[in-house]
Amino acid sequence: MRDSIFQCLSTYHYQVVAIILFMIGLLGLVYSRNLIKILISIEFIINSINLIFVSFATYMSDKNYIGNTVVIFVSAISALVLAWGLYLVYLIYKQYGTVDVNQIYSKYKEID
Amino acid sequence: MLINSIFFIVYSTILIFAAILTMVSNKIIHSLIWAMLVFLMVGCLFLLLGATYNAVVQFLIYVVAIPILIGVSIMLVKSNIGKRKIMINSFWKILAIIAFVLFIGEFLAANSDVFNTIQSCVVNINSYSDLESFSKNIFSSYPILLLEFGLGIVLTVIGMSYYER
Amino acid sequence: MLENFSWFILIPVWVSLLIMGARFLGNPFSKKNTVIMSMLSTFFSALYCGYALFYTYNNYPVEVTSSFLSIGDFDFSVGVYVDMLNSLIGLAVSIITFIIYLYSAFYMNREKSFSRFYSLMNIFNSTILGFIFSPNLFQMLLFWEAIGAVSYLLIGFWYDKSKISLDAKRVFLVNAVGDIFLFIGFVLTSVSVCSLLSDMSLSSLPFSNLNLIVSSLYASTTPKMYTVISLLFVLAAFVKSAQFPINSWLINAMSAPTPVSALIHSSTLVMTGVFLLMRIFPLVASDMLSLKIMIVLGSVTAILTSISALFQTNIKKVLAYSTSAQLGLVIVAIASYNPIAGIVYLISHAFIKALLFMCAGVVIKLVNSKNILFMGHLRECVPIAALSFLVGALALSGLGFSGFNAKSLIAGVYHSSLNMNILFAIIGALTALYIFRLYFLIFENRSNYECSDLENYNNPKLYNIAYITLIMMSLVVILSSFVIPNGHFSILYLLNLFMAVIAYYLYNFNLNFKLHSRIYHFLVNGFYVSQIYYWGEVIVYKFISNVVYFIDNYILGGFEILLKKIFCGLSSIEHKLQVNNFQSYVGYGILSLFILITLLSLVYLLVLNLFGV
Repeated sequence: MRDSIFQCLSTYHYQVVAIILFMIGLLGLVYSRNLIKILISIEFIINSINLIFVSFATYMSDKNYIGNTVVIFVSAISALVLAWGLYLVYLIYKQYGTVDVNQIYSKYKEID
Repeated sequence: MLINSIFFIVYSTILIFAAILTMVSNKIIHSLIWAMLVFLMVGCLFLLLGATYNAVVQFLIYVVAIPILIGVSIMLVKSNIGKRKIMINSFWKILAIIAFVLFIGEFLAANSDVFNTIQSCVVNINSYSDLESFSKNIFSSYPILLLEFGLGIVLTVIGMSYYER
Repeated sequence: MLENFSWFILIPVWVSLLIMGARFLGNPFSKKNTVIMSMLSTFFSALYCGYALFYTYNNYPVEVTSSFLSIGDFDFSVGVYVDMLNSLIGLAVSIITFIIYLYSAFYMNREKSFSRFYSLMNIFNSTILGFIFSPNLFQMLLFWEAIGAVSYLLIGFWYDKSKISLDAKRVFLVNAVGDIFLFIGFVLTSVSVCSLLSDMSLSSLPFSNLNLIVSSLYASTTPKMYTVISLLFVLAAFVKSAQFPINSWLINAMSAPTPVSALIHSSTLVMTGVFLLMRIFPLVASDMLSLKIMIVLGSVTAILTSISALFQTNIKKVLAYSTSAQLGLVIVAIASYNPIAGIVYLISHAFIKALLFMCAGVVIKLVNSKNILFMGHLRECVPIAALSFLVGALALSGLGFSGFNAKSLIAGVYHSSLNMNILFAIIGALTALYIFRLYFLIFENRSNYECSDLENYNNPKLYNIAYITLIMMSLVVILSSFVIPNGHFSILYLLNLFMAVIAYYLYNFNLNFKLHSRIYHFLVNGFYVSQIYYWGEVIVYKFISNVVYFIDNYILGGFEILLKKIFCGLSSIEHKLQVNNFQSYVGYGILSLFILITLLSLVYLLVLNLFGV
């Protein structure tokens, strides 16, 4: 079976943390009503994936830096996505006067 | 190695609690602060892993730049979200039962000898030629991940039961 | 010569196809042409049978076969096998069919579906010829089924009346039971013989090698198995010949048109069972138990059906019960190692019973009723039919003509012991009593009406029918010159004469004695044989249907309601999720993805555990 955490840290332990973070992000994505909070959850998900990438890159038998390099790209693009998303949130707020998803949907239906 | 393990445990505990508090807190600015803590802890884990450059990038982008961006937009937007009601109907009970059964099955699957034997006779990961090898790869390399997926189902359902949609 | 004309069996089929084809194409043959074509086909078969009789008298039997069906190690063949037995019975059947074609040309004249009647009769003729001339048991089985099917069509000729179609179905189903017995017997015999001899030509059990087949069957089976096989054949024959446990179908079959009854329920159809027993007589004769059963059940049938016939009021039912009784005598004759007497009695009985049915048809046509209590003193109206019926009655009771000779031969069978003699005396006395009761009640008794009151009295067609009965009567008379009687019959003759006189006094002067009504109903309904079957069916089917109803209503229905509720609940859950909201869609998708992956891994685990790695 696997080694204990005190004997040897492995990619497994980082995976556990990353997946828990991923799950929390997913829950936030699905169940939060604030648009900004949804964006934060997306960032959580991206972070968890970054963590997995880095842990694999570290614990791989042969040393390669692809994992680390990808993470930089992912961070940059996610920051871009977040900026664009916040702009959209602002537009939506100007349109509907709220950032509550339910209210937005109900108003959207009324307009429809 | 022991120090590394202790640091890992500390960092990951803080990370998880901060993430949960992010989702639970009612005020959006509180959740932003907790999110900053989460990003910081991720950077610390990067450091622990030896990816120093990535950790620096993480600190710069996630702990400084992005919270500023979000804070500005929070300032622009007036977010008055009402309190959530706790959802109590039969729907979540059924799902909880299903998820529990699935979780038990997943637990059994992950801890059975079959997976360990498959793990011992490792299949070539790069060949996804046909369905059989694909499934073998999934089930031989990532039983642990599947266990976490089962955990994820339970978490999702509990979340469903507590947050009204 | 015989080989070259072996296709004569198919002539009636061609005639039938011509008649029906012309009718379907909208240009039907006239009734006259239909009758002439049908009669020519039977005339040809009669010629063939007559020539075959003369030929096989001095020569070996002729066999023409060709392969019909080969499955694995089994090779089934069909064809024609001609010997004395075949050609004698074939000749009798052809002559009776010839006369009945002529008879029904006038009897069925007003019928709308005249051509359907004749095409069915032709097909029946073809099947019966194919049955009689079959070279092996396989072809016999095929035509056995075909006879059942065609007789179903003929009995249900007036299928628009619900009672008649119900009767036809009932007869068909009862005969199907006999088919199953014969089929099982055939398969068991064929498999046993072929496993011992590994000869492909024997798989269809040809009659030319019957001794070899019987000996190898005897060698390859245990005695109990042999008994079972021979009993299966006996039971199949009993079903077709309307013997005791299964005799009630012949009464249901009486709802057929009278010419059909005259042809198939007097001579041909009921003869097939007896003919089967004669054909495979070596097989049956090697087993004592089945011979004993044949003797006991044949005698029981003869007595019970004779008593039942004494109390019937339907003219055709009396004759039907009588047929069962006479065939019981034939079966006893066969089981007593005396098949010659059986054949003679069978043929003479066929002619006599056809004659009686034809006379009954005349009377029914005249009075428009089958109840003999509504008739009386019809001798004045149809003297020719009365004469024919008297001749038939005399012959059936053994007081004269062909019946006398045949009955004296049969009496030789029963001469072995005193008990058998008494049994035969009782049967003969009952026969004389019921047939003369019929004669006196119909033709001699006081009448309630004048002949001129009757609707059909002045109908010239009726007189044609009556004259045709004379032809049959003359045949019955002529037939008596072929067989020399023996001397065991003298006392019984006097007894039968005495019974006829008693019948004269009882029924001509209405000296009816009254029975207790319950006993009377018991006897009229044929000892409740058919009712017992009916009750058995009803009880069994009610039980089965109750069980099925319970399962259907409470178990399956409950399951259905449960399914309905489950899916209603699921759909309401889904309805809650299907709000116009991307977050709920994402949640739904993630949940289903998790469930999918989990199930996939579980299934994979199951497969690994079941089939190994």
